[in-house]
Amino acid sequence: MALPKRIIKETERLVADPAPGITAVPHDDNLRYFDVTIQGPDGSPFQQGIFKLELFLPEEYPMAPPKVRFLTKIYHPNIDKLGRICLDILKDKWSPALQIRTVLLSVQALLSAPNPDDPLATDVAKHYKENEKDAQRVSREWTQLYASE
Amino acid sequence: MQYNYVGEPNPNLLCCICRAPFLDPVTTRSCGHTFCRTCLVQALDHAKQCPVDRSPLSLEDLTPTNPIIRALVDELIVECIHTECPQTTQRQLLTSHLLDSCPFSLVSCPTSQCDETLHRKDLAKHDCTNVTKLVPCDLCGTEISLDDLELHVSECQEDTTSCTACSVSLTRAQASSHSETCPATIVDCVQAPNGCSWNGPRSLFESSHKSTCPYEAIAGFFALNSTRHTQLEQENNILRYKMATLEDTVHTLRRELQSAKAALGPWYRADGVSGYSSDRQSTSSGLSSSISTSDPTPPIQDYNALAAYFPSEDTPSNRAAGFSSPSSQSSWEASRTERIAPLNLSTSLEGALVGIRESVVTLDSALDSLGRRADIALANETMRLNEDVMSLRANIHGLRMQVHTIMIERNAQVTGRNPEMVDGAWPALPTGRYYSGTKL
Repeated sequence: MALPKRIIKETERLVADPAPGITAVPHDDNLRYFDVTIQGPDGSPFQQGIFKLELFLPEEYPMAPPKVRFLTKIYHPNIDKLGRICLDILKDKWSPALQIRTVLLSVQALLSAPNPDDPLATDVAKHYKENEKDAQRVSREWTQLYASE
Repeated sequence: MQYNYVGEPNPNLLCCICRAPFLDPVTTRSCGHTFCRTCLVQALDHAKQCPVDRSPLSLEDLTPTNPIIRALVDELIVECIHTECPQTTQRQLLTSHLLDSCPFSLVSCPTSQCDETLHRKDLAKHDCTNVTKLVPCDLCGTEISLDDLELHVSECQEDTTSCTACSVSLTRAQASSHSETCPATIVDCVQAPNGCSWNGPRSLFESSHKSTCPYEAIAGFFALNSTRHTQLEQENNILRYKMATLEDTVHTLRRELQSAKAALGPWYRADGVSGYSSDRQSTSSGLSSSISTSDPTPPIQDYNALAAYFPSEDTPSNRAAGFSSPSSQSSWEASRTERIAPLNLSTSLEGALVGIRESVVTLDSALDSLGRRADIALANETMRLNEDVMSLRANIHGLRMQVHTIMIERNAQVTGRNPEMVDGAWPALPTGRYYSGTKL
């Protein structure tokens, strides 16, 4: 199956002109599979963390959303133990006008703004709701533990 | 069709779904966003909403895009889809370029019988006269070209013939096997190679002749004999071949020997001349006579005659003694015969040549010194003779003076004239010499 032009163009732009704090490199043997890193946004508990993710473009892309998953352990109400992300544009709110770059920027924004009202990791969401300070402390600890160089 | 655009197209003309300039663009009536038609139709299959603002959308809400936008994307410059073709053209003209002019487009040969497909540029070179229509053979059904059909029919394996002996009708393929078994065919006796002259129908041979044939009775002997015969023939062939090879080798060796003899000349000596010649006589009588007659080299008999020209032995010390006193004329004469460099026939040709060369060099230097000596002697002799001549001349002169004086005196006495009168006749005569002459 030939790679659609759109994917080639997107990959070229991601490598040549990466978004700040985000890298995405395709695998040599599968150009639909990307190794992604996202820097924790400043001012968030994930600041100075480098989070590894994997991103896969399914056959129907861009009609279907890419599949994105955290590989680094993270204490976040919208990201579960398996690294799955609760983000609307990765599910029902996907649009073919979106692209890899916008998806990764949305994920980065999700780190800045956890949404405990739409949780995936319910215990973390509960912790965030009941004692946000303490939950952020844990997030920082996890960032130190798992997401530092 | 995937287009390769020349340069970066204006980003406003890119479809947000395929990220390429719009192809057959459509615009949403409700929200005014523009997409390629195929991209948007696909997107609406997945979700009935506008990909940009997620507002509800269906196929009925689409309208063709503004003609200005259409013109802008249709006039974008693209490369030809054939990478070998250097042509670039407006996007809307690419199809006609491919259909009508691109030299790398695949076209089918216009000849009705030829169904080959090839690049347009190769069309002029294409020669489809060789490609002829195939027709099936009526008998066997093989597809074959019209030209070869006649030949094929004459030997088609499915063609029917009849046996000449028993008149059974057969196909050609069966005919060959039938002729080997047909009972009516006239055959020779199996012992014909051994001398049996019987022949007749195959059926009769099996039934009657086979039991009465005298040759058939001793068939075992014939078989044995023939195998032995072939064995002997084979052996004979091998021997003949070996013989030829050996003869070749002998010829080659002989030629080489002759050239070696010619090169060596008098230096050639076989190990024992007499032994060689006797050997040769015995072999040449055994071999073909042509070999001995074709031998042009004279037998080496003149070795002793040649040896007379070359003194057999001369030691280097002897030679040195000869040259040690070159000034002495008598010793030179005496040792003259021994001065000639020895030519030792018992050494190799090369050694003898070196000896000769040395002798020549020595002779050259001896001749040189001899010449120089002769020159000096001649010069000395000439000087001495010159001096003798000078002194003789002076003596003669003195004598002449004296004779002259005597003559004058006598004249004076006879005539009574004063001798001083004639003094002026020899004004150049120095008086000193005159008196010294008189004193003589």
